[in-house]
Amino acid sequence: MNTVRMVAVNTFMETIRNKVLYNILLVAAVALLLSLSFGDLSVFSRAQVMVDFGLATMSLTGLLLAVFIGVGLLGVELSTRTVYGVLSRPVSRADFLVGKYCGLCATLLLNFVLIATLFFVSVCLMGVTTRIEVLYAVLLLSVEMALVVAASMFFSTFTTPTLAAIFTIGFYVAGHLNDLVNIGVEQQRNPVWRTLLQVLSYLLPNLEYFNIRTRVVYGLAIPDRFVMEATTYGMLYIALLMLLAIAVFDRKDL
Amino acid sequence: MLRGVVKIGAVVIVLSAIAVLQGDLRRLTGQHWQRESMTYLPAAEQTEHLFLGFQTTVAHYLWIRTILYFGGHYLTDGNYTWLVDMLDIITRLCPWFYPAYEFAGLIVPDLCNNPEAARIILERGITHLGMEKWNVAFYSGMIHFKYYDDRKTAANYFLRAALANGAPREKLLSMAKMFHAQAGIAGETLRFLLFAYEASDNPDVRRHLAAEIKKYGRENIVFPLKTVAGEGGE
Repeated sequence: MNTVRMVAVNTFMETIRNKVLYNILLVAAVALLLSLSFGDLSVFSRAQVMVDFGLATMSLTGLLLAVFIGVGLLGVELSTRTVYGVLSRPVSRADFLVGKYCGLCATLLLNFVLIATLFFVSVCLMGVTTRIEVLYAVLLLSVEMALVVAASMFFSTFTTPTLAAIFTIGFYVAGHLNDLVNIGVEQQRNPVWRTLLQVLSYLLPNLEYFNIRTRVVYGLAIPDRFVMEATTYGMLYIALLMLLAIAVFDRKDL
Repeated sequence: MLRGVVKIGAVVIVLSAIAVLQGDLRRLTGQHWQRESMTYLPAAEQTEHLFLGFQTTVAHYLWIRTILYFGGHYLTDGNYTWLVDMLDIITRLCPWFYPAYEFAGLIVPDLCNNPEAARIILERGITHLGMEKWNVAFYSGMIHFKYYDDRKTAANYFLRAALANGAPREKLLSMAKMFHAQAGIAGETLRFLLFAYEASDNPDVRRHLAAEIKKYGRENIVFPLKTVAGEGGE
C-alpha cells in the first residue's frame, strides 16, 4: 500500500509539472468564460444555457486530460525505460499501475476542482443561481473521466500511445452510443446477431449513465439512489479495467 | 537599421493585406452565405444519437444560431426557410427547452406560414412540458382554432393547458366552454373536467377542478356531482 502511495504521489507531482495540463486548463478557463457569455446570447433561458455550457466545458476538458495525459503516462515510462528503475525496486507491477492510476486521478480531481470553482464563481458573479444537483453532475463527470483514464491505462499496457489514444476515444464514443446497441438488440431478428449485440451492450460501459447534465439543467427528477448506483457502476468498471490492465502488464515482456 | 525598417514595412504590408482581404471576405460572406451555411443542418431524425451526450449543449448552441438567424432575416428579407428545421432539431435534442416551443407557437404559423409544422413541434412540447408550461398546449389550441377552424380540438387543448401548473385556469376553462358550446357540444367541458378530476393526483388541481365542476353544474344543472362532494372552494 505504501508503494502504491509513493508511485501515486510521484505521478501526481509529475503530471502537475506537465505543460499539457496547463495548456488544457488555460483552454478550459477561456472556454468556460466564453461559454458563460453564450447565456446572454440565448436571450431566453440564460441560466440554463450558462450552466449547460459550463458543464459541457468541464466534460470536454476532462476528456482531453484523461486521453492525452493518461495515454502518455505509461507510454513515456516504457519508451524512456524509467519503468525499469522503478520495477527493479520492491515495487510490483500491479502496485506500479495502481499507483500511476491513482496519481493521475488525483491530478484529474484537482483539475475538476479548479474548473468547478471557476465555474461556480463565474456563475455567481453573473447573478445566476444554480441548484445543488449541479454538484451531482460534476461528481458523475469525475467518475466518467476516472473510467476513461482506466481505459487509457488499459490500452497503454499493450499498445503504442497513439493507438491507445485512438482506442480510448473509441471507447468514449462507443460508451456514449451504447443505447444504440440496445436499439439494435430490439430490432435484430437474427438470434446470433441479437446475442452478440446483447453481449456487446453488457461488455461496454454505458457512459450515458454519467451524463445527467440535461436533467440537472432543466430541474428534471433524478431518481433516488441514481447517483450512488451510477457511481458504483463506474467504480466496478474501473476495477474491471484495472484488473485487466494488471493482467496484461504482468505478462508484458519489458 | 535598414533591416528593421524592412521588417516593419513587411509587417505593415501583411497587416494591410489582411485587412483588405478580411473586408472583402466579409462582403462575400454576407447574407447569402449565412443562408447557405444552414444547408449543413442534419436531418432531425439523425441527430439524437449523434452528439455523444452533448445533445443539450448542441441544442443550446443551435438555439443561439436560431435567434441570430431569425433576427437577421426579420430585419432583411423575412424569409425563414430553415427556421422550422432548426426548431425541430432543437426540440428533438432537448425536448425540455421551452423557448423553442414559444417560437414554434408564435412565429412559425404566421411568419413561416407553416401551422402544421408548428403543431407537430408543439405536440412534442405537450408530451415533455405539458404539466409545467400551460402555454404549449394553449398555442396548439390557438393553431387549431385560427388555422384549422377546429373549435372542438382547440377547446380540448385549452382544457389540457388548464391542468398545467400555474395556468390561468379560469380563463382557459371559460374559453374551452365557449368553444365547446360554439362547436355544439356544450357538455364536453364538464365531461373533461370530471375526467381530469378523477385522473389528477395534484391536490391543487383537484381543488380547482372541483370548484369549476360545481360552478359548471350550477350553471347547467346537468350531472349530479357526487364525485366532487365535499371538495372545492365554492
